[in-house]
Amino acid sequence: MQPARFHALRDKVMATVDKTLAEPVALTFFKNGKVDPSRPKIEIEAVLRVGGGKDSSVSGGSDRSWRSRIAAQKAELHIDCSKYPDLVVVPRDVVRAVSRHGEPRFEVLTIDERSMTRLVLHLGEK
Amino acid sequence: MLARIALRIAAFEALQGKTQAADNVFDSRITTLDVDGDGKLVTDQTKPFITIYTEGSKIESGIEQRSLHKSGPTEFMIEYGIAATMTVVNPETEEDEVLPGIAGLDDAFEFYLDVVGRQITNALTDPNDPWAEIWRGLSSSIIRIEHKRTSDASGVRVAAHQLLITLDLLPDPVFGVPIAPTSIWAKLFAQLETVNHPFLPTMRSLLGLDETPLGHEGSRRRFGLTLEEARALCVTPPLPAETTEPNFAPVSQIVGP
Repeated sequence: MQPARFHALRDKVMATVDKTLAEPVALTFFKNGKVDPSRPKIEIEAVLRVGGGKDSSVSGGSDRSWRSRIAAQKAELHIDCSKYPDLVVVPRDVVRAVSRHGEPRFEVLTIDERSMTRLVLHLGEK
Repeated sequence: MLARIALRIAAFEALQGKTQAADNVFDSRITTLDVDGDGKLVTDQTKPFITIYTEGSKIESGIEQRSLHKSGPTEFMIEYGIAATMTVVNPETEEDEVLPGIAGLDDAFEFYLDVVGRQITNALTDPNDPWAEIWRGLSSSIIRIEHKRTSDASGVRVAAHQLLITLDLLPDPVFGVPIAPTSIWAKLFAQLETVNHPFLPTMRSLLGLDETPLGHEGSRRRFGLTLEEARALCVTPPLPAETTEPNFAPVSQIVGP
């Protein structure tokens, strides 16, 4: 990976943000529904933000032909990739917020790894 | 209407414990699935659900006069689903299962839903279950069966199926008219009594069994006839006998004035 001139500033900003806002989360990696033996479980520190609860029908919208309603919220985990450069995450991996009440579980729905600052995991409830 | 109530109660009882959703069967649920039947937040492992609803019905022909007791082709809906929050999780490995030995992947969700669909069919066609028998006896036939499917992955990964059954629901028993012991209503009320169902007293009061209407009054209720219409159709006895409605059956000879 080639360095860029803004990297020094970027790393300093991320480290400062993480020092205040990051929380410990446990990542468990999966392959085909089973724990992936090549990627052991780790605990990292990253910024976790959970969205406001919104309820929708099971079809995801307000489709009136479906009666059952689910209240579930999107969440995002922002990981400092310069701190964890070897981290590989794929959809279905499980994130556990070990420092939150009840230690809630999330599963990775999509990954945004192209940001200049962070690896962003879009999470769904589990 | 009583037939709709009966349909829901019978299906609800027939499905209890018969599917992967176990006793997580709901009747006409409105609130979101974050809360259980008592309104408490479900923080423990949520279970997959089944909900039953009686939806609309429309009768546009065959309504003799004003037969409001008719039920018509009624939509009976069974909705069941599974979300990523509803799988069984092993707390050490974080691995989850929808069914024993089957990991909670997307195709497993769909497999689970079809398994439940089959279990629902097995439960409602069970010849040995008194509740299923009552559910079957409340309609003369099923007119239409529709299977629907949906899924979503915005806040949580969820998939659901809907079984929409349009059945020719029996008309409600007419108010005041005694119920034949062989009728489905007698069976239903006997069954409700064996489980001491909380709805039973109200339902019974709606039957009007304490009233003892005259025959022509029962007919007027059944068809919604005005007095003039009933007289014109000779549903009522001759005018002098209208209020007493004596039994003319044993009469063998009528002597003129």
